[in-house]
Amino acid sequence: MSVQPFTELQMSPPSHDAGVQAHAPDTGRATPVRDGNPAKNELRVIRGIETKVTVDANGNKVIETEKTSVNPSEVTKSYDNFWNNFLQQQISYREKYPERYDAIMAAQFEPRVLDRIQRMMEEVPDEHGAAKKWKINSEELHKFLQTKQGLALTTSLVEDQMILEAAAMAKEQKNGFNPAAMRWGYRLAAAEKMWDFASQQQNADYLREIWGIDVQDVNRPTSLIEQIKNPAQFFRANQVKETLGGAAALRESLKAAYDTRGIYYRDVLGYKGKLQASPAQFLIDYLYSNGKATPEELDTEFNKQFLRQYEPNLWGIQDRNHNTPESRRGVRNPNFDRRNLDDAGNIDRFFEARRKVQGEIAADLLSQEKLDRDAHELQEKKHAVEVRAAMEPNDPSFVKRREAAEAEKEKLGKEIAEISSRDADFIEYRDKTEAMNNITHALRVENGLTTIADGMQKTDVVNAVAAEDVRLQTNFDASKAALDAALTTNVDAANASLNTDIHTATIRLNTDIYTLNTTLRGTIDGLRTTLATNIDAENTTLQGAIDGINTALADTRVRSRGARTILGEIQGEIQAEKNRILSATPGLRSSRDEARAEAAATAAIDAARPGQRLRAEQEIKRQEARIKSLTDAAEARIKLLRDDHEAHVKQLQDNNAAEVKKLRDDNAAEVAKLRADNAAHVKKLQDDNAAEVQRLDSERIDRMEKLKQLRDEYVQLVGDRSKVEERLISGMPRGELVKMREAYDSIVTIGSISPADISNRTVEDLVKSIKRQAGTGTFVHIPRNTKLDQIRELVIRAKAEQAALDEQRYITSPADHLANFTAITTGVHRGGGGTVANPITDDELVYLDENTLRLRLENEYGWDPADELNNWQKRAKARVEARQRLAIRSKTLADVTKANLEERKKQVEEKASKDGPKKEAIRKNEILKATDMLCDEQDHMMTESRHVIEAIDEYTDVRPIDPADQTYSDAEKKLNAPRGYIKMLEYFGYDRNKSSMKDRNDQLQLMQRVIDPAELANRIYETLPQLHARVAAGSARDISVVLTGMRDAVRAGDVHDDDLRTATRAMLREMLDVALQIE
Amino acid sequence: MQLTTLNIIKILPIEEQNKQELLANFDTYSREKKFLIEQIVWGVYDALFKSTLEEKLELGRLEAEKNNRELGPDFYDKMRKEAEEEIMSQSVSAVEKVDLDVARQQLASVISEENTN
Repeated sequence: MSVQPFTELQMSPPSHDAGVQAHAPDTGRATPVRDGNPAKNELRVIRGIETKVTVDANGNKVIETEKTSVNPSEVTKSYDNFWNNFLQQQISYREKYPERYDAIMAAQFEPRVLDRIQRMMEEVPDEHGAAKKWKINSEELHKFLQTKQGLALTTSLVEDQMILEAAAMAKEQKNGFNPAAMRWGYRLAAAEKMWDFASQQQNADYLREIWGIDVQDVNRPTSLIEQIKNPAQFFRANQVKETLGGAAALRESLKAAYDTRGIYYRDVLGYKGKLQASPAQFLIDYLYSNGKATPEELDTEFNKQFLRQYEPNLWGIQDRNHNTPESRRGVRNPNFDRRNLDDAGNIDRFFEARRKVQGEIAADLLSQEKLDRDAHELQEKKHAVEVRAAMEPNDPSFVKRREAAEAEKEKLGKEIAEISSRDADFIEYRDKTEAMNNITHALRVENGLTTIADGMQKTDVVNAVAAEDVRLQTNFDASKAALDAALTTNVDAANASLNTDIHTATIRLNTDIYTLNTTLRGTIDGLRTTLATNIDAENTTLQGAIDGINTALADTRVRSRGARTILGEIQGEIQAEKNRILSATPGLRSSRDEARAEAAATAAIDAARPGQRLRAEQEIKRQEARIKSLTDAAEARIKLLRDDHEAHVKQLQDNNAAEVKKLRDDNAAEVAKLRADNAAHVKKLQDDNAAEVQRLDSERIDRMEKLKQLRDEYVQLVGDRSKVEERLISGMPRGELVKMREAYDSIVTIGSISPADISNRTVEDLVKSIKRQAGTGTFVHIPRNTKLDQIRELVIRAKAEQAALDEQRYITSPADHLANFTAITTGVHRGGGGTVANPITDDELVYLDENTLRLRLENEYGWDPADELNNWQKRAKARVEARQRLAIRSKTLADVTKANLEERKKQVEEKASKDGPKKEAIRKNEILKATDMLCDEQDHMMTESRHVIEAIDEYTDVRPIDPADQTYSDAEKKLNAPRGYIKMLEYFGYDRNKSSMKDRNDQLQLMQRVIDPAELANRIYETLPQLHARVAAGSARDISVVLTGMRDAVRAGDVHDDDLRTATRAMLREMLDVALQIE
Repeated sequence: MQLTTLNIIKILPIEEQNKQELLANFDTYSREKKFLIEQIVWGVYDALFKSTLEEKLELGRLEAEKNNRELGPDFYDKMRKEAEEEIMSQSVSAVEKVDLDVARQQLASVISEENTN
């Protein structure tokens, strides 16, 4: 049987009975108007503590309220939070849907309450003075919360919110399944529970009457997912859904609401016990406790029986006198309250039904037949524990077996430890090998030394690196020569290019100068022509003027004849006179005669022409002066022209000379630049060449340094690994390589055990298998009487050889290593004439000294002593291969041996463990004894429970025990537990007044098996959920913390004696269950 | 009246015959059977007490509501005390009745034995 709880839950009342629901606090809420049915549109009646309800002459209910002074601060605070959330939601909705808001609110609240709610929201002007924003009117809110009406309405709204949570979930899923919305899990549970709740008739009535949610005409979805997908079918109270805010906000308000409701009941009503769940309370309680702490489960046996006793469908909704809500059709029974439920009558009937069911269940449980059956089953289980414990022998054979097993385990353990002690060498060998391979890989792949192979001898690596050094130097020299040649060519080309450029520039200069000079000459010629023209013009003009004057002087046509004409006439007349005078005196005449004649003639003419000659002469002189003036002016102008011309010509010539000079300067600069550029270019070519040469040289040096570094590391590693290899090899017995190969041949090659099997099957498995086949079939070569140990040796060696072969597949050895190794170990004669009689074995290759090996190869294999250098290399390579093979086999042999030892150790342990449960049984038996002892004290505990509550300070005293206090035993003091723990042990039956200290200590020791301080603390914590709000789960095993929490819970009235009894019974059942669970 | 397993058995609403047998033979039962009986008996008692308490609470609140009376912070404690007193008084009378029945039965048994002898 199971001693699973058979009373506690079943004895609890159902959750959603109408009788209890009838006592939810009253509100001023109106039943929502949905279908126009007058009965359904009736205002919900206010039934708050402070309200009075009467019916007026027209049958309408009249509500009166009273204000009270009840105002616990905690309640107000919590309600304040709730209302702030609620009003904020309202404001949000109002601002979002202003056109719908009034209608929705009017449908939900009666005018009086609506008015109150409206007053708690005030419209505030925006910055422009327009009233657009809403905010909470805190003053009105606080005023409202001063009244009991406020408290009652709040509680009602809280319950509303709880119911609406389910609807919120449905609404939230309207557009599809949203996993994020499920993160708290409770939404799904809410929908499920909501439907479960509504599926019961009385609950459906409750929803319809109180909340206006009619589920009668809603088809139940076929599955939970369907509920999620089709929320519109689930709840049709559209006005309710539309007023919901976001789910997150609602969840927060629900939490506040839940607290609020609790505070209301506890602090206002002083209702300290577990609340009888209203539908909403049930929902929220279920949801927020992850489905664990449901006060009442649906569909329990109790619930079914209860419904049978209290069947609304059978009896209908009746008043205390079993009358229906209507005294006759259409006429209401005045005894009924506004919810058509006669509260007191239904409460009576509810509890009567409940007690009746409790009695029936008790009667069933206490039937002698059932008790005997259950007790017998319990005894059988206990007996099984006792029997097993009794089988724990003191019999020598068992002890001997166990001791032998322990000894064997110890021996195997030592051997394992010994092998394990070499693990470091194996690891080091592996690490060194890997490091070597990394280097050879680097040399081969990254540095192109293709001759390098894994596992190569260090001399080979050294030689390869040296060869690479030479190769790199040669390459460098060639590169340098090529670079130098290229440099010469490039410099020559640059110089040639320079000369060409200079030549070109010079030609261009000369051409430019020539052009300039030609232009200058042309210009000057032009200027000269212009000058000559201008001078000619000037002269012409002047000559014209002179000619005019002369003409005028000589003109005979004019009335006033020209002076020169007149003078000429006069001079002619004078001459004629003179001539006449002179003719008068022939012969030679002196100049004086001439002059006298001249003068006499002149005087004669002047006399004849008085004043004419003087005027003519004066006129002539005047005109000549005029001519001279004109001539001077013309000459001056001509001179100016000449001067300007000269200046202009000079300017042009100067400019030309400057231009030419500039051309020459530019040319000189260009040439200089060409030369400089060329010099720079040539220098760059030289520098680049030098840099490249340097780079190549550095690259060569760097590479060589790296190669040398790798070489040195390799050489170092080879040396280091050789030391490890030496240790590993020295740990292998001589001839082991041969033995392993022979064992492999025997088991695998001849015995036909596949390589996969030899690898994968365990040694012991193979040993058993081969032992069975020995002397027959493929194992005919192994005698039937071969001992298991001998077969095991063979198998271990064969497995190790297989493992070595597997491992070797991944080792890239130089080909000549294996070739020389194979040639020697298979006895290939140098002359090619077959094999030698006694080939050198693998082991001998490792262990023979150099001289012996050399002589044997010369004498037996025909190796030529004259070719000793080559012989030496071949021997060395073969030796390297042999040593490596031996080292690998050293590891694989150790691995296989170790695995086999562990396997055998495990077998020994398993065999020993088959005897082990008996030991465990003894422990279980002690636990059972301890539990039995506690169970025997159950009646004592039940009786003492009240005393514990009354003296709770004593039972939860967390002060440490005074070491000097003689009332405590040494054993009690050693527990290092608080005083309350010892006192609590007394509640569990610990007798500190036993006649002997031994008995007292024995009892204490036995109790420690099941309720040591930490265990007792945890059990109290687990069975008293009232502590969960006071004790953190992490401190559940701290006896002082738990006792303190318990004390506080008792003081607060959250834990009473019946709670303690319930917890104690659960604790004992749990302990008994544990004690009876034996593997 | 002190609450003990036997006293509670006396007040349980179970068949009289079974009740008498439990009371008469309780001490002779195995420890397992005693343990199971105690579990049931005390569980039933606590459940009955809770029912009584809750009924008191509901009725008390209803009464206060109808009479427009405040409940006050000591309401729960008062109701609890009333429930204890009620169940105790019912228990005492039930126990007395059962004790009387047992005494009668024992007397009848003695008489029967004497007659047999």
